[in-house]
Amino acid sequence: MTEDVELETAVHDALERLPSPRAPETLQPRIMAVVRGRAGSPWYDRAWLTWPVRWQVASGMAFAAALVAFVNLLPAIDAAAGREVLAMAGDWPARLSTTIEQGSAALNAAAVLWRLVIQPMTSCLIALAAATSVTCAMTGAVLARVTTERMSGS
Amino acid sequence: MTDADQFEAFVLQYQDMVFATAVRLVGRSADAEDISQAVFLKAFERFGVLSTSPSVGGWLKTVTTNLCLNHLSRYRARWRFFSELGRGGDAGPFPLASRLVAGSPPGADLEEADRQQQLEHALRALPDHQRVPLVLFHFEEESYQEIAATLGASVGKIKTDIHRGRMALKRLLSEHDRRR
Repeated sequence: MTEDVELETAVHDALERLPSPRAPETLQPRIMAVVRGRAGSPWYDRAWLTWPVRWQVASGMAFAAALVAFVNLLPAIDAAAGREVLAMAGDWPARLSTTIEQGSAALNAAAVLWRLVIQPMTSCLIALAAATSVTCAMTGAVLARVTTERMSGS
Repeated sequence: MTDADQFEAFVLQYQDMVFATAVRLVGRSADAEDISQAVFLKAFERFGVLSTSPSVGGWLKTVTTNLCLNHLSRYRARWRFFSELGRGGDAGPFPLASRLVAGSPPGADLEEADRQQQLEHALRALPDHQRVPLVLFHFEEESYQEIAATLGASVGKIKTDIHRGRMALKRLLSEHDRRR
């Protein structure tokens, strides 16, 4: 335990003596470039949190009113939509039968395509994709490590 | 004085603190600069409140820490597998330690400056899981429990990682002192 305390103290003392890193000279100009760009745009074009308070309140009240209106009108909208759907689906049994037949034919065609063309190639494609992924990941890891070592040395 | 001018003065006042926090947490200057910019842009959205707040320094540090941890989470998720294969938890001597110049010019100030530079580089080169809790403990003065809660790890793991980070830094300091 004493060794741990000594280690903690020694490292803390050494770290405390470190000068605090200074911000690069490029930081402040790049921040202000964005800020001045935003300051030049109209208030309604910026994030809602930056709007004048009175407009935040007004927009909040407008949104709440729209929500209340929508909820109150929902039954009427639902009834109107229901009438429209019933009018469109007058002969729905015949339409449903045709749709099912068309879907079945499409499924059969897809099954033939899979069996004759895609399935034989699947294992090759999976192996190729896996090899490519592993190669890319390893290359990236090596590059990251080289970059880190160079930065440590710089 | 316009809002932008006031904010510019604000940036100049706090940019060193924000950048120092970020660079020690993420270990890379370029990433720290990007994070620092994001911090100040968030501050700009709330400048009306922050400009008169006595706790603006704490707010900036908290936001900086959170953005750094988010950044490290994304980075770690991408390279976790290979980076953990590449370097163990108990890192060996740092590349910089082996490049200590045997014929360094005399002078206590220069030697101390060199030692500090080596230590700063070594700190940034620590693995994320050692450096982040170490920085939160020694620079942000958070307790083990607070760090564990922040990072979503157990207190035991935090203590172990911090201990290993200290051991790695101590090795560097001892090696440097031996060459003096």
